[in-house]
Amino acid sequence: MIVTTEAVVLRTLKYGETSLIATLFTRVAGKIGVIAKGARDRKSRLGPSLQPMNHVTAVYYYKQTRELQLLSQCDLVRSLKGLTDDVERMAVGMAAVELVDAVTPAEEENAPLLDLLLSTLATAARATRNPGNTLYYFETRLLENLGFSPGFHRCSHCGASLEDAASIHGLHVSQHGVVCAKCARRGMGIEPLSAPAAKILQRLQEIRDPEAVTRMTLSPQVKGEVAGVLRRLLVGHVEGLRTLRSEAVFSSLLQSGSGPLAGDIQL
Amino acid sequence: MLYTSEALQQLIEEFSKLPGIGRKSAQRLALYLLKQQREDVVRMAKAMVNLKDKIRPCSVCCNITEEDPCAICSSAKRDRSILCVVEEPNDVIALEKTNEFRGLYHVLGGSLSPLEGIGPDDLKVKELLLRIDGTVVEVILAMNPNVEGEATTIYLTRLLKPLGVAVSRLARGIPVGGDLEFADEATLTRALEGRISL
Repeated sequence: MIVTTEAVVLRTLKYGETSLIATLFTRVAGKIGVIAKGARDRKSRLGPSLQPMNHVTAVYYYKQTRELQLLSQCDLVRSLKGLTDDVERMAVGMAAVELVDAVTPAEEENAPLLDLLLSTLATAARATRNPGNTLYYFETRLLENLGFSPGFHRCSHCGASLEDAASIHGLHVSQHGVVCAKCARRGMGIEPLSAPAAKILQRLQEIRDPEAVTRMTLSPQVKGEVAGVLRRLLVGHVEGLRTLRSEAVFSSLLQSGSGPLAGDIQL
Repeated sequence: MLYTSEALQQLIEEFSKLPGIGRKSAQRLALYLLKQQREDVVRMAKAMVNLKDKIRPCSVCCNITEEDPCAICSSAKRDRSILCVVEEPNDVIALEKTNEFRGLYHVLGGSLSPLEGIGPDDLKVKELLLRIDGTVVEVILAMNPNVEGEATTIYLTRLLKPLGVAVSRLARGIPVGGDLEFADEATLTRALEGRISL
């Protein structure tokens, strides 16, 4: 069966002399592995489009019995050049594709997640300031997409309303939510959470436009807290998710910078 | 599969470890060697051993060499003010074939690959920075045109610019002799961005 679908390239791997094995996150079939024969050959039209983070239209031959599908065509839908122009923007894009690769099972359709990934990549590519905030937006929505949407507006123990971030006194990862002062005093496994970070987490859950998050200016301390909370929630709920390879690399690249991954995220 | 000779089977297994060589090709190569003169086979085996014994990295440019420093680094004819940074020794061979570049090289030994966890500590970056000692005026970043190459280029630019050297990169676009209509969108976009005024 010939399948034509919109996709984002999650990763590629050199195979043999001239071929590539790629992982695509497609609209019709979720995450699939494809082999692009001869893609590294100078004459091939597959190679240039088949780069991580690229938004493409892929055509492949699908056969249920094989693990890797045969890619016959791959055209760029739009160039997200901004992602490869700047280390911070690239860090966001790489972390997003790596997260999608890590949290999604093979061949499980998830069009809303593809839309989320595309909007995050496009926003990060365009962002002239705070591109790193788009990763926090992405992780908040990703938790929601996976069914682990954290509760930042109510106490996860007693259900008390915590609309005012100042009344939030901690985070309970296993109950994927925050707790009030009363529950924090008697609760086990509750991690501290500052009011400014709690407010940002509440705001991230309300925002539906990724552009809006790039207008938020966060202090390095709040960035670190927000990133840490989101990552702990993901790690706590997604089996097998530990550290992201790309983040470890970008942390060292951005050591002197002030990016979102410059040592802010504690894994 | 059962072979009548253990030596043949062993050689087939060794050949099939080579890049681009499948089991069938390995078998063909092994049977070809069997038909050759003993001295030819010994010469080939010696060449393979020599490769491992004699070749080492150049202490200056990190390229492969038998003499340290390598012939390029020790040549008085080379322009020492221009340094071309490449990923692998193959890239030096490709650039030398052009007979256009007369500067020196620096081989990084790969490129930054965030998704594979390959960071700056895995490359010869410190060695590169040590070479920026006042004689180098320009550094050309000749990385492969892919995401890993871009990451490496951006990272090295951030490191090199504050050292007061001019940093440039190779142009990207339509291959010479190619047809515009057959170029892919990514290449065409880069070619348009990198257009030059005439």
